Amino acid sequence: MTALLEVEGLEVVYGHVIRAIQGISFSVGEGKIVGLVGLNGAGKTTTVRAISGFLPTENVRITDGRIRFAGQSIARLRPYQAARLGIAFVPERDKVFDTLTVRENLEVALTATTLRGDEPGRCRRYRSIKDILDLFEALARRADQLSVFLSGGERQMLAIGACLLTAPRLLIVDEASLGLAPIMRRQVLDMLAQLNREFGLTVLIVDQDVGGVLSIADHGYILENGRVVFAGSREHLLQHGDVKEFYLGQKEDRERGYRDVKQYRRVRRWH
Amino acid sequence: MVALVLTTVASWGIYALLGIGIVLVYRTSRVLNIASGEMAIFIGYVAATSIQYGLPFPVAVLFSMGAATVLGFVIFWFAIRGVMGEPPHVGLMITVGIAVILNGLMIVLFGGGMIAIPAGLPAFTTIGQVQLPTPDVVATIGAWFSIAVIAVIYRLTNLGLQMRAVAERVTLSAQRGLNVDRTVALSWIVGLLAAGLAGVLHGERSFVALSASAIGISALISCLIGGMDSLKGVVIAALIVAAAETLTARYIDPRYVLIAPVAILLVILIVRPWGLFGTVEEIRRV
Repeated sequence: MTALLEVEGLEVVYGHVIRAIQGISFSVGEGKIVGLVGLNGAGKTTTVRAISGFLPTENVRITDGRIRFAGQSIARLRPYQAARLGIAFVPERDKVFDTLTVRENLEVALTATTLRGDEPGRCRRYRSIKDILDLFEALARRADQLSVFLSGGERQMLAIGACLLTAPRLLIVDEASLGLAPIMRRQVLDMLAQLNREFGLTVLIVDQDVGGVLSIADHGYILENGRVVFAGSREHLLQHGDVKEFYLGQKEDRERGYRDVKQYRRVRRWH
Repeated sequence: MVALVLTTVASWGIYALLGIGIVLVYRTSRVLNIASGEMAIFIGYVAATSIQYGLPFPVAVLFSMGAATVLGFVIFWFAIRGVMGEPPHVGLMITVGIAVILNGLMIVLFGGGMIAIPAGLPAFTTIGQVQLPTPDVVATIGAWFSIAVIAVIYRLTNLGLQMRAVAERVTLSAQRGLNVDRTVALSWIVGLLAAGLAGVLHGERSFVALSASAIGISALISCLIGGMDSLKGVVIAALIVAAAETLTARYIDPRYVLIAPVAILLVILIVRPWGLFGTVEEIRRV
């Protein structure tokens, strides 16, 4: 497996005080779907913001570690440079331009990224606004409306559609399912899986919904308190007793008491 | 009567043009440009001086627009780029500094006196039965043509689209691959071109002088009345300001010219603090 994105020993400090990320390592193989999952405050969003070049602007520093994309170090790139390398990012909030129409939103993405030459590995299936509107029928019906009137699911579609127009090599989706009804959540995940299957698009999903993400991901990394606590293939994670109990809500045969859970948490925090 | 209307329309155009410059820059970089009057008159001085050196009016205007482009880029690169994303008062104070510097430069480079920018046309234009003062006709046509051009750029071109994107969400624009610095630099250049042209047209109507940078105040009042982030609002508000000034000068006392718009501004700020067409700034979660 060749790794498209490699993160090694990443450490991020907020305002000189809080070590939000305490040495995370993971890799995303070309053409794979990888899930980065964990509870609120586990450090998922901070990790992907480090990858897309946003931390230095926000009183947050990467104090250690390496981030490599396609063999090139990208820790010092500015956000738009990361985007032009083919890292498309769907943020958690503020993912579309509310004051622009759906069509204009897509146009911004189309005009911002100019591809030079024939760069390998980029998903060029979607080249025009029409391609995206054909892909998402719900958007086609509202193409000339302001995006502020879109529903949560449509906003997610528009954000992903805009990313596809930048010919991404890696699509990072932060909180793919936040605020969506279960059925929409399923649709978004299925769509990502389909994009991966049909065009080999590499996807990094960051989410709290461990079960949902593991249903489509090839690999998963579970974060707690800024560390990776479980890692492995989907099968491995789905079989793992602790993952089952604490993230998927499935009970083991033997009941665990409150004391066991507390002990588990303690071990996880300091391991 | 027709001349009075024309005077109002010419002032309206100049304030609107200058105000559009302020709004464009404010929208993309969140810097309230206090120095727009000084910028306008500085560029006006460039045009006036080049006419004194023998350049014909159209060439002098083109030359001064070149100067405006350079000035816009220099101001963005050396003063604004570093404070983008800082709290609004930082940018505001920087433009106060720019105003002081430009004032000094106008005295050092151009002497700071009253200079006219003659267009080299006859004093009156006759359209049908009416005789109109040519300077006002030129100013009206120049200002409204430029406003139309800026509106087309803003609404229909990629640059305008990118400016609107950056105006709404800087972070998302960068995530989509937009070079935000470049877009903001271009908006400063367009802003300076608008301001410079307003200065030249003002000079063509009357004269450029240090005191003429008061047009910046009228334009700023137009922006505040219209709402800081609305191009449509500033154009409409500029009419209110221009009409108030012209009517005050004509029917009350020319000395009170600046008081009328300020009085209107006060009323607007009490009733609608975000301006007639401005959007209420949302309170963001930090």
